[in-house]
Amino acid sequence: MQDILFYVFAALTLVCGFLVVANPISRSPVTSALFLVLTIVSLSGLFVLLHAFFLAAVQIVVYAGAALVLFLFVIMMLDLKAEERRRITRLGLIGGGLVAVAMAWLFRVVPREAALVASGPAHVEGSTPALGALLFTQYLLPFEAISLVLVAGMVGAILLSRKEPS
Amino acid sequence: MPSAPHPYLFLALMLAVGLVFCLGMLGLARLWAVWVSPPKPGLTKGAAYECGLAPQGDVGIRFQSQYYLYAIIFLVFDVETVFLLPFAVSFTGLAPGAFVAIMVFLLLLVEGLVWAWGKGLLRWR
Amino acid sequence: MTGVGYSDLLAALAPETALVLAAVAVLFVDMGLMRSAPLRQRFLTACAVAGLGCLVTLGILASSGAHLRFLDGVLVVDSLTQWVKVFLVVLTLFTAGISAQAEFTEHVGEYFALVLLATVGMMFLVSTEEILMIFVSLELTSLSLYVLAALDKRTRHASEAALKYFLFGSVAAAFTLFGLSLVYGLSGATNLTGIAAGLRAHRSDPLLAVAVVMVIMGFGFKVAVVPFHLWAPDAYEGAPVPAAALIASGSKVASFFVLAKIAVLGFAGVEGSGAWGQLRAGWLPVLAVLAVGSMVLGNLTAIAQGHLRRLLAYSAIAHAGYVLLGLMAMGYPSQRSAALAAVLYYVATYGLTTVGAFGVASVIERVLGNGRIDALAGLSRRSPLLALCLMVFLLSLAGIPPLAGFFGKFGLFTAAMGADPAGLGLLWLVGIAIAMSTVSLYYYLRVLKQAYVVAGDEEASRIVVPWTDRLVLIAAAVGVFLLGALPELLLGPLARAIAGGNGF
Repeated sequence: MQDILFYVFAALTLVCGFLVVANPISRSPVTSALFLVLTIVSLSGLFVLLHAFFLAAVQIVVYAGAALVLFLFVIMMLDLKAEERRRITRLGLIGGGLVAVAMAWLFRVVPREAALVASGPAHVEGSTPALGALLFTQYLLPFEAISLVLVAGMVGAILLSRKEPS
Repeated sequence: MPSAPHPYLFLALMLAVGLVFCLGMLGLARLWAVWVSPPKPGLTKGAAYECGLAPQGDVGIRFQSQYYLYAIIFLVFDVETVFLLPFAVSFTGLAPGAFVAIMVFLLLLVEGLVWAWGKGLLRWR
Repeated sequence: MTGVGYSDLLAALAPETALVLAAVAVLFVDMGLMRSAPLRQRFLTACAVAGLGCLVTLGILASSGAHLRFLDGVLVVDSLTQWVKVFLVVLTLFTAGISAQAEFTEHVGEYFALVLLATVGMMFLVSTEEILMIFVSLELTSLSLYVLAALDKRTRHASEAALKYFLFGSVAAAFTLFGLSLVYGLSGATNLTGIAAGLRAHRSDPLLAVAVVMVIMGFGFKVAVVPFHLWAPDAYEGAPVPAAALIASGSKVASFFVLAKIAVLGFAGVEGSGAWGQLRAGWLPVLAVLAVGSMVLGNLTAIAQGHLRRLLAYSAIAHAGYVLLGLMAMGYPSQRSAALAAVLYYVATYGLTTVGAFGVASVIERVLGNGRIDALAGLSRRSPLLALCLMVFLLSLAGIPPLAGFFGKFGLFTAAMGADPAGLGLLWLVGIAIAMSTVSLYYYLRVLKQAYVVAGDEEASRIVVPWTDRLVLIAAAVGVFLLGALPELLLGPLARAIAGGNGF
């Protein structure tokens, strides 16, 4: 069951991710943004399968909820029309294909078992209390630094997006 | 004794029901459109409706950037909640220092809000 | 749960805390008390508050010196990091000093608060050995600097520069993050020593190569080495002068220090070799390529520049190339501490020189309205002080003997020469560096010729240098001269700090 669900979510993530960047039906940026929501939702499904319920919720609350709203605001604010007309060029296709082949080669030559599984995932897997305990002991400092990042980001975004009273 | 259901049974069921619900509705609407109201597109029919007046300009309009400011502030406090939840859940196991730490975190963000307020950003113009 | 000494942690973080408090203070002093004051006065007041914060921080830094290591390297405090922090705070103080007379923005408090927050980010960056913390503090620094670069909203040119800086920077940050996550995936550790231990089993893994290259790419952007330098000329030219000064000085010092830490501690064992004729895969050959590209392209392109700050940008790219030589020397254990001392001496004096040069540029641009090199004609008559300071800074950048730049280059090159135990493996790089330094003398002298030899408009009035700028310029020039004449003033304490540290 878990395996089937994994493949369902993984396929959904990939398909939606593809539709974000190259949607054959609609070139509207709004459609892309909405497919990004779907990508994130299926990603959070993958997190649930890993027992990381908190991260799954965060994915939805922060990315699908807040960040995507920002994206949509920006798209509507800029009122993009050029993006709809732009087509995929041959050069871009070739370049992208080359990168894809290179990545595929890389992941083939990597001895998979040895490399990524042996080191093992972090042992906090899932439980939110354990995450909280770690966040306030081992990772206390990054946490506090994040509050400074948030303040700097907020001040900066507000300063830059505000119209100057001239 | 019946065995306990698989832990992911509900999730899978939910997924299936959700899919069927969505796609079913879309399919029904499609069928309805084909059988009951065959499409007859025209210039007037496809135009945006503006109180009986002739439509002017595009449907999509440029958003005011002020909405964006609110969204930014919302995002910042959204991220803040994300950090508050693990703190609340593991509160009993934490030292008093952790409480000070989260208060510092909160105070810094409140400081940001006070700043935005003082700058007059919360007033709609 | 390991007992975290929250109070110990707070005590170790006292300098950063002081700066954050100063940032909050400057924000609210400007907003609360100075709201209706004229712009000039607001800048002076905010500068005073920020400067006071920096001085307090310096005092705290001077009074502490214990070697502490918290939480598996999330926070590492020893006399070496204290020294680097002193450099950073001094550079910030000078940056604040040259912004005291600025008039590019209405948002004075926010400007100084962001300068201080950027510095806090840099201070976190130098005193951590944990990749999560490295990334978060890198983001704190970068975000603040992006905003600072964009604050001058009066011209399209500045906005374009800021946008370029932001886009390049965020893409580079994404690369860094991807590289770091691969490193974590391979090693299963987030602190640098653990990473080095975990990577031991994966030396020949192609994924490791991708990870190393991506991490170096991200930092290569921060320090502006070829080919990740494209943002630098625009940002240096378009950003407000003090912001550009901070981007060019403090951010470089911190980035080089942490890049050295990641490469030497985290990627220990994957050095490879950059010696001529026997290149072996690892981070050394990557740095060698970047260094050669930066030294050659930076110096040759600088010749064609007509704008003072653009010229400084290309010269900065070239200087980043020289510093990479020092980092490469650190890849060889025998030379590690000598090379580290040379790198730190170099970036510190380079930062000081750059802030000074940008200070001169800021006064000149305010008075003349543009920063073109042609406009410098007759500067020595209009303001002997400015011309003299410019001469000191540019000659130091070129590496003329009694000044700090000479000794810095000398230290770097000797460290690189002696690095390879098997012989003079890095000699080819040193050769390129020396040849390119000679080229650089040409374009620095071209600027000085404009300032000293070419006669300007006879009618032009004298330039009055405000006392704040005069203070900063004289302090920087004296510093450059003193540290060049008596390098032991800085090298001695640095060597002691390195010897007393944890092997880095």
